[in-house]
Amino acid sequence: MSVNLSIDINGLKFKNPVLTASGCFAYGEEASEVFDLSLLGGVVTKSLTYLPREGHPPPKVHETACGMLNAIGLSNVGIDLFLSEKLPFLAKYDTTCVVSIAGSKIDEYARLAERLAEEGDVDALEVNISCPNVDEGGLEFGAYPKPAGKVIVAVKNKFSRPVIAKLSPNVTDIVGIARSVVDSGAESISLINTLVGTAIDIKTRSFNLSNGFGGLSGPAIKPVALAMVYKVANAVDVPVIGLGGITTASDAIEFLLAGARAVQVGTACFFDPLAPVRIIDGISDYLKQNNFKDVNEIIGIVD
Amino acid sequence: MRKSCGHYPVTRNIIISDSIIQLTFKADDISRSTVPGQFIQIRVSDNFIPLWPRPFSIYDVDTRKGEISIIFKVAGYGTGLLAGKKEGDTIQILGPLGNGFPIPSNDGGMVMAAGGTGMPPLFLLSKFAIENGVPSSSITFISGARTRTELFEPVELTELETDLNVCTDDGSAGEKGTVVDMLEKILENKSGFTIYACGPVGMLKKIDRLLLEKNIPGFLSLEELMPCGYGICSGCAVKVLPSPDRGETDDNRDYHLKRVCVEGPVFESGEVMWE
Ligand SMILES: Cc1cc2nc3c(=O)[nH]c(=O)nc-3n(C[C@H](O)[C@H](O)[C@H](O)COP(=O)(O)O)c2cc1C
Repeated sequence: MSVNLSIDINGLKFKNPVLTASGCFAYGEEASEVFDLSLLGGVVTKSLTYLPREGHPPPKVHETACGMLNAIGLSNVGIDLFLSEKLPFLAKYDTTCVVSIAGSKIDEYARLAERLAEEGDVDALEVNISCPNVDEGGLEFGAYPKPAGKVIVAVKNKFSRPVIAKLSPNVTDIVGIARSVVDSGAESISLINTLVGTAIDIKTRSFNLSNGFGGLSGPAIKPVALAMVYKVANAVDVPVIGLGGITTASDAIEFLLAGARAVQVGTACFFDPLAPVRIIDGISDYLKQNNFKDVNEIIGIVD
Repeated sequence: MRKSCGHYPVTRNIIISDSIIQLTFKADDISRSTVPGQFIQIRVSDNFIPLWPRPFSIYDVDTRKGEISIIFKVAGYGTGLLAGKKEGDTIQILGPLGNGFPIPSNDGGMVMAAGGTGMPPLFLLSKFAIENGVPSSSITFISGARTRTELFEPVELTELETDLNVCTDDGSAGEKGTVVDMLEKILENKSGFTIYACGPVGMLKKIDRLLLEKNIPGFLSLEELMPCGYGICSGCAVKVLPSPDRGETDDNRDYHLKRVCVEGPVFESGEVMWE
């Protein structure tokens, strides 16, 4: 008996519901030396800024209990090199290509969206609104409903294919922000980005990360992510993509049951490079063992 | 370059000294594609503590038996777990990773400067060089540590019959002094050498300065804890001198970053901006 794993996110098709998360897969080249990227439902690229960025100086990462902190600082190749080298590479694979964009001004998001709209190989954009911005006084665009919505409007003006808004968990009312980005035209929402955290070296009495603060990710954040995905999926009509700490098929199935139509695998790709492939197989096995014919049957059915 | 990832069986666990262990794995594919200076990422626990795999330089390869070995010092929780692995246990390995040393040619002498845990990749480099026709007598091998019990000195190293110089900071084995002291002494009398170094960052920094001062070519292998080991996270990046042609960037830093796991772990002398 075969099961259907394919899903549809407002017209955007994925052969299975497992994507790799932004910043946890670079642009796919290195991972392609380990497994065939065509097995994946989709790839989300490292967030691009218009110009290349070196990001924060080392140390950029710190290991924590069942998790890690990162302060990479959005180091990326910039739009020009992405279009000339990285996108043609990804386009060789039979997988859905989602390009993540980030900016410090609304105009930067718009300029990135405009350039990417010209590229047929870009299936969708994921808008990372969790970076500190200049336009709104140094806070994250994603911290309040209004600025979050403004970024989405600016992107949607330039890019007509599906746009996924990626939400930050570092807010008091994530549902309010979710509603705002949907009202502004986002076809889908992905959540969660990392949780703000830090660590201190008691020997040197200084922060472990050069940037002081970083983002917590990995198995440690899964319960927080799952609760937020459940809340948002129940509050908006667009499909939701869940992520945060997903390492095994059973983690992924929890997110699907909570209402996510797809999942992304982030930090797990670091310590377990084959995790995304094993999760795809594991979801399929679970469906068979429980007599489901289609992955869509289990989405949001938790009671 | 193809990288292998899977669960590989341990075939031997040899205790070299109090805190130094040699582990051998059956890993046909990795043994066939390894070059000296490359490393593997070993996931020591499935329970997320520690979360990241641990990097180990490949110490020896046996392509006939399809085996690879590492040597390590039990230094913390992760290496402690690894030290407890027995024949037949399987463990997740990703590799081979990193650029490795440039394969030395026949001419000129080589000086290996190994500090503590830095010995394994330099052993493999010496072995490859000898197999490639470099006379073992033209390889000077310095192996140093703080004290006798931390010295990586397996029989295979002695059997290579290089010009082996052992030193410890406290004089408990070999000559009293650091690897850098030893290297300085050797460089006084000889020239035309290429230096290959691996060990603690303080040692590498001093050796780098020495080589630049004396205008001697050399390659330094960095040891860095890393979340992925294969280039996807950029977490292990180190500062290197920016190349003049890199163009405009968003954040205009006075440094450029290279990933230890892909562009390294071997860097040319003069490349790394030390903290
Ligand atoms: C090293 C690292 C870099 C990341 N870079 C980005 C990024 O560029 N853009 C983005 O939207 N999210 C980024 N993230 C966040 C992840 O995509 C993901 O939202 C988060 O890590 C939670 O999922 P996980 O626990 O599965 O990793 C990054 C995470 C890590 C660990």
